[in-house]
Amino acid sequence: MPSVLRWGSEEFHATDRAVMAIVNATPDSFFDRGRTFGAAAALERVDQVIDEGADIVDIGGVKAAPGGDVDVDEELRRVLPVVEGARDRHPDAVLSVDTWRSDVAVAVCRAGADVVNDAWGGVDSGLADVVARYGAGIVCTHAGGQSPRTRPHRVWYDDVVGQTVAGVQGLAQHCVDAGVRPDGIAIDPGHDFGKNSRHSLLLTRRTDALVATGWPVLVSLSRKDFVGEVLDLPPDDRLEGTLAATAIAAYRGARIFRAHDVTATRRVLRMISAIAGDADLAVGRRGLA
Amino acid sequence: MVTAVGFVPSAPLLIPDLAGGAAERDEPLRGACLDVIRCIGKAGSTICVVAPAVTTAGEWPSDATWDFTGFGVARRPEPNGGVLPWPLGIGAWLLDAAGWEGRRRYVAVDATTTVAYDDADVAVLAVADGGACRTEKAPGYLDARAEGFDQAIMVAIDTGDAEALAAIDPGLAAELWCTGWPVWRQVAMATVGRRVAEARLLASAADYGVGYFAGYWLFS
Repeated sequence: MPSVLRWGSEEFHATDRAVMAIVNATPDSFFDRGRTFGAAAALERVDQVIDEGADIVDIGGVKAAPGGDVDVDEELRRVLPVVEGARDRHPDAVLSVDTWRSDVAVAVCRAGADVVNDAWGGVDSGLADVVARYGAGIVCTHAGGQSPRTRPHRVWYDDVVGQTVAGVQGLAQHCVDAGVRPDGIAIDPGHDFGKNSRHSLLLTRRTDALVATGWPVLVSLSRKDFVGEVLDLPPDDRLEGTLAATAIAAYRGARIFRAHDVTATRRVLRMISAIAGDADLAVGRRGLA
Repeated sequence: MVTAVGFVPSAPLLIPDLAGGAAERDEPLRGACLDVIRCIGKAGSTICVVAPAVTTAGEWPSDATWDFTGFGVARRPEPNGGVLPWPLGIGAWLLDAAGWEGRRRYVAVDATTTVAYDDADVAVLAVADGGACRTEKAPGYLDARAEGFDQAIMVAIDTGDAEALAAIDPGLAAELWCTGWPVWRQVAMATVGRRVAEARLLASAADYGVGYFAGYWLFS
């Protein structure tokens, strides 16, 4: 499979370590609880994260946790204005939409979205066809077979790493078979999706196994409950734990990092790149003058 | 012949290794489970652990051991006699913790299983939970019917009412993410019509949105 990931007008190489900024167009997502609900507020956040250096903007209209029903019309009502506004204000930005629904994917791709971030692992069998039709990119996420917006309940894996790797490879191959361009496909092990906290920790430790598939790896770690269960802290206090997991995944070869805290994540990734030998100092003076 | 029934939860977090640093928080419930086992252990020379089938119903060897590695923990005993599916494993672990040294049977049941109790004096350890939809944070989110559903089971345990256990609606149980229903069906089949000498609900909890019960029935 290709070594370069092509999304929008950008290329993401193996050691680029790029940030996908989370923009929630929901009233009730677990972390920001409606701070950017309403297109105007969401667009301000889009401006802000691009200003902070985000490489990709990921717009989502439905929270991952269970709750009141959000149907296709409501989801589009929330995300479409943000996609259109973001495309208008930032013509070259890489825009992603966090949805599992092919009906939503059609509308947002038409409006200029570059990537469909399918967090629920292909539950809508028509999604790959839509992505192929529009020449868009896709994130194939392992969600353990769960239905969207359901919680894992006593989930057992004989081999969580092996099963996750096989799962994402299957999803990626299904996309290729549907005509999605291979250089638009990224895989995501789906931390906490259909997995308990120990499963997520093991997948973090074994990021190398995902990278070894040859597909570009995206990880979505930000403020998740597995961090909360290690530290016994609520979402607002999970930044350090998130960054620790980010550093490990980055050092072990993950390519895209889906995050709430763009500046902090970028600094961590820049440091990891330098430690790994993939990037140089910004300033070389000390001891050299 | 069944001489006693013990009711304990089938929650993985009952196992201290799985609860991590929070193992102490569930000590009262765990303690109640051990009390249940010690109580029913006086009434039988065999304890038959009955738990919901995960993939397959059937009987496991009596020297099989618990194994929770599929939940992500590293530790398990040497599996010389084979490995139990985790719901039976919870029963096995509780028997070990209670110091049970008598005979054991391990049976995983589904909606159609029939279990024969041919031993002279068998105590059944029913490893089962109520609904998993008690709160918005519950694994199955909130379903307003969950509390009443669990309440009926608690009353049945506390009053020794096998007919009430037999009357649990399997369709509603499935909608409420209740995996325990096949176990109570078994208990009801084995005991309906028998006179309960003593029945007690020792503990109940739903702190994590799942209904847990600990109690026992002793037969005359």
